[in-house]
Amino acid sequence: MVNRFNEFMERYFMPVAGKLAEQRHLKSVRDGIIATMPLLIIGSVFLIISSPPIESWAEFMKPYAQTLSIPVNATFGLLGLIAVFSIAYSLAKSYGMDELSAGVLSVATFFVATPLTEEGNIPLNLMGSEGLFIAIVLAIFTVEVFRFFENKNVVIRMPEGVPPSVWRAFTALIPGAVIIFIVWGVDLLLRHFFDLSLHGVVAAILRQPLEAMGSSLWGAVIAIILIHLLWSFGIHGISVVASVMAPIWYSLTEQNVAAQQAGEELPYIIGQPFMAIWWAVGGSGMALALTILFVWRARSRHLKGLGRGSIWASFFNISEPIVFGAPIVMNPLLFLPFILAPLTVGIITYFSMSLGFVGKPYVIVPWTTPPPFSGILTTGDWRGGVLMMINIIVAICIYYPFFRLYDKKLLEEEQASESVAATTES
Amino acid sequence: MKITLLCALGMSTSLLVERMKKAANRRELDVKIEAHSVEEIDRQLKDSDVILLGPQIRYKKKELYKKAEEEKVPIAIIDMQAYGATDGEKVLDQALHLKK
Repeated sequence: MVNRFNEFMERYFMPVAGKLAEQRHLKSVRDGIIATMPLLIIGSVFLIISSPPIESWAEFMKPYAQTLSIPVNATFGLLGLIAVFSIAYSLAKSYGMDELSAGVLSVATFFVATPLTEEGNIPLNLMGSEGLFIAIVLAIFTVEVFRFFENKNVVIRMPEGVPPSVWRAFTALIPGAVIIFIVWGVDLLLRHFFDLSLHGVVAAILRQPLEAMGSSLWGAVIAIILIHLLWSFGIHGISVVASVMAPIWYSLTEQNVAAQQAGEELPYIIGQPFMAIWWAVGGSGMALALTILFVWRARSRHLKGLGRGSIWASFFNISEPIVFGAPIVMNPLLFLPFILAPLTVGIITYFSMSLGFVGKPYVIVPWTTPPPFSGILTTGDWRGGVLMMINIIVAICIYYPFFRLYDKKLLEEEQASESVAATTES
Repeated sequence: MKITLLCALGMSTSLLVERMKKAANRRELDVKIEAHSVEEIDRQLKDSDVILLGPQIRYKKKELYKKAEEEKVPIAIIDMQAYGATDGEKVLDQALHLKK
């Protein structure tokens, strides 16, 4: 029965997961957004300094907040602008096209679609997460039209001997002009006849529904279940799910950053830190809890050894040694708590934050940040650290009965094989 | 000879790489063993003699195998049990066997 199910998954489910993760456009969007990650982490450092978790310190920092917000605006605040370039760049690269021309062109397209403020300035608010989804649309549009022209060979060709940097600039000329003309024309028509802008249309049909779904508890619950289902078949679950969800999670977090800077209440609980850190202490499945049980309570040699060997990896949120070593993969005994523990922790965290016991997360930290620091840093609230410790204890309790059963089974097997070895020796 | 292990980020396989290096030392083999992110496959294909994939990224098998075949580099997925047990000896055997 179990084998048949596995076979079914390997044959039908695996290729779908593979296609999803390897789908060219999704992959380019993900890679493009991952490219902004270092900037977001740097921005987070300044964000913590300018609005620290300690009241008296925050009061002290107030006069400098304006100055300190410059690096934050230049990182988080430009998420959309940077993404349009890096997404077009990775998509063009995947096609083997001239990635630099595509990136440069898409930035121009992005600005064509962006309405200026009444004073004629570039609106900063549309450069950040508000501009992220239109950035995705425009980057893909730019590269696809560019590619269409290249395939049809409607580009200016230079004679042999002209340096590549020169002919490259000319290759982009015709498609570039057409792309900019189309975007400009569409935006103009929308504005003239419907009093709408491209930004507004993308927000209404793409951004708002996706964010409503992504920011809801149900959205998070479904994502968590899916990630752990994938892991229990030995597939890197978060990679697969994030290939679709990452833009939404980043966008939500950036809005929290903006609210934090403005001194307003944070709008969202779900976002990048929630999905990368909060239910994944020790890696997917709250694996640190299980590793602690292995070290602390295991009687079988296998689990004790595995626990001791992987406790440090687990502390830094790397769960593969446990997932494949215990193993959790294809193991009916550990499968259930592996899904239940992160799910319960996710729900506890969500309600602790929505009821105001703990601050909502707005800071992006590297996913290898160990607990409880990750809990304190992401929320900018010391109670975040306390909640994270409680979460670990809850996860230990969920794992405990299943762990006991499995440990007992392994111990019996070990003893049986030892007694066999002993009888054959004597 | 260079053996390259690829997984999602090159972190979890790096634990296995350490074990494999020890195993290679014991056998007095002259091999270079490295762990990298799967995103680097193009670069790694250029100078690796064998590529091994972490089982958690086997859903990308089709595309990765195609790339490796084009470069004529032998490729395989690490045996899941050996991966779980971080059995350096066994995975080293798997790599050496592939090269033959």
